[in-house]
Amino acid sequence: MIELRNLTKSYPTPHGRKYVFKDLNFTLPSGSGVGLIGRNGAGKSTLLNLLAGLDSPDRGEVVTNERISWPVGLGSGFQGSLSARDNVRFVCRVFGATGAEKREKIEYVERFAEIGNYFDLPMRTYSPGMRSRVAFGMSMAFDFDYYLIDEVMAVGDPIFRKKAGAVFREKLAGAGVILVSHNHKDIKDLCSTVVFIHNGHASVYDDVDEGLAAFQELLKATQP
Amino acid sequence: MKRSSWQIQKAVVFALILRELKTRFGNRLVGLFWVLFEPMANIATMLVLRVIVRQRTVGVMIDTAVYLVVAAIPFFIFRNIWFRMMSAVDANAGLFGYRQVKPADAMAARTIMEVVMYTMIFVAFMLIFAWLDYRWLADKPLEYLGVVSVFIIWGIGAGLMSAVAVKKFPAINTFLQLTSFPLYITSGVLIPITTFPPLVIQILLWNPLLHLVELARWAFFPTYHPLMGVNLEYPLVVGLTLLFLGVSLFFVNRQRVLLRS
Repeated sequence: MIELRNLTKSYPTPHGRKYVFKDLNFTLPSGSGVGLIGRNGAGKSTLLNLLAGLDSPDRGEVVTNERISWPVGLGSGFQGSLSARDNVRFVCRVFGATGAEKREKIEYVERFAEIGNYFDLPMRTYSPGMRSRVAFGMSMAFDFDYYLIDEVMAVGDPIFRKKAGAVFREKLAGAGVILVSHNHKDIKDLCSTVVFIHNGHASVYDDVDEGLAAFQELLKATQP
Repeated sequence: MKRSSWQIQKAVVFALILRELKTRFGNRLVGLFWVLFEPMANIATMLVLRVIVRQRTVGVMIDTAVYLVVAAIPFFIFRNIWFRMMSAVDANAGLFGYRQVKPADAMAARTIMEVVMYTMIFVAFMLIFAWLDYRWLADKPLEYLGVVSVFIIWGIGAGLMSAVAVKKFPAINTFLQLTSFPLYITSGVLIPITTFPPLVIQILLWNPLLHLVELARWAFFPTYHPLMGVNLEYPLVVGLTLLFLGVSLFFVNRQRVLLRS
């Protein structure tokens, strides 16, 4: 269960303080799929960052006992001059996986990424596809109660995509997902709850279709 | 299994140190060579200059090489902690995507690394001095360590403050880097301040780091007489003030330093 209590977040801008949302209150059930929808700039990614603990709110808090992942496929943490092995090692240490557990995770990523010898070469020599293979593999190597996904779902070639999809679905059998996406098909596939963010307010819909319909209506209303 | 905050922080700082070691030195010994080479080159240059002016010793029983090293190394520790903390957030920007990793961890890792590295360089120099039959042990070791810790306090205080300042006004970066050399000279690390006219000495004594440099030599040599007016209170109080301001500023801005400028 993830509970948001009076969550308020703002950013200072040259035009004054801009509130992304004020006093957000809602609860997400355990092990469920949650889709965050809204227009660009509505605050979906900000909310995801708050859930990921990468940003802190002005007021209020995110109360949870669950293990929440970093945004799946995050590749910004890679050091170009280090090999994928060293980069995975770093994350293992950060997450407290040592000894046999660490070896096992490194092996898992190596097998998952399927990039052969490149696994021991500096990451700056990788193609973008290879980087994202390693990044995705790393997300899958650790067990979380909630996986956070910001838009990017499809990485790599079709074969890899198929495999990644299968592994991910397997993970989701025992875990929840919080997904930011403009792809309504993904949301219908993975989510049982939809949070619609608009003008600093969030409405929670337990019926996905209902939530998506509300979003469609808004889009229609704002179109000329 | 849930880890305590302390366990997490320990793991993160350790991971950052290993990562930085690998990045800086990697499989190439060249990286390690440069780290050792910089202070050595500095000291060697000064030694050559001194031999040319036939001034092998600075005072009674004080060899120039030792005289330079015992002050230069604490000063380098201060300067490096300062600048490496200043750039710590940008250099590790990508890593803050993992919730366990916070800017303060990156700074702690860098501080620990600088202290450990320069301790090793110091020990290396002392071994060389012992071999050459120079003075290699501090006369007052505890006092010497105390002075070095004040240098470290200065480094951390200045580092925290500059890290915040640079985020707000990026232009400061170049300016601060430029102050490093004049500070080095006016702190009396290379040139003994005693040779200057009294008025200049009076002005230079406003620099708290000069006090620390003098105190480091006083603690190392039994026969060294520091400049008139040198005391510990002045650099210590200014250093602690810097540290206090640095910690407060950084705490208030801990979220803001992460924003892209």
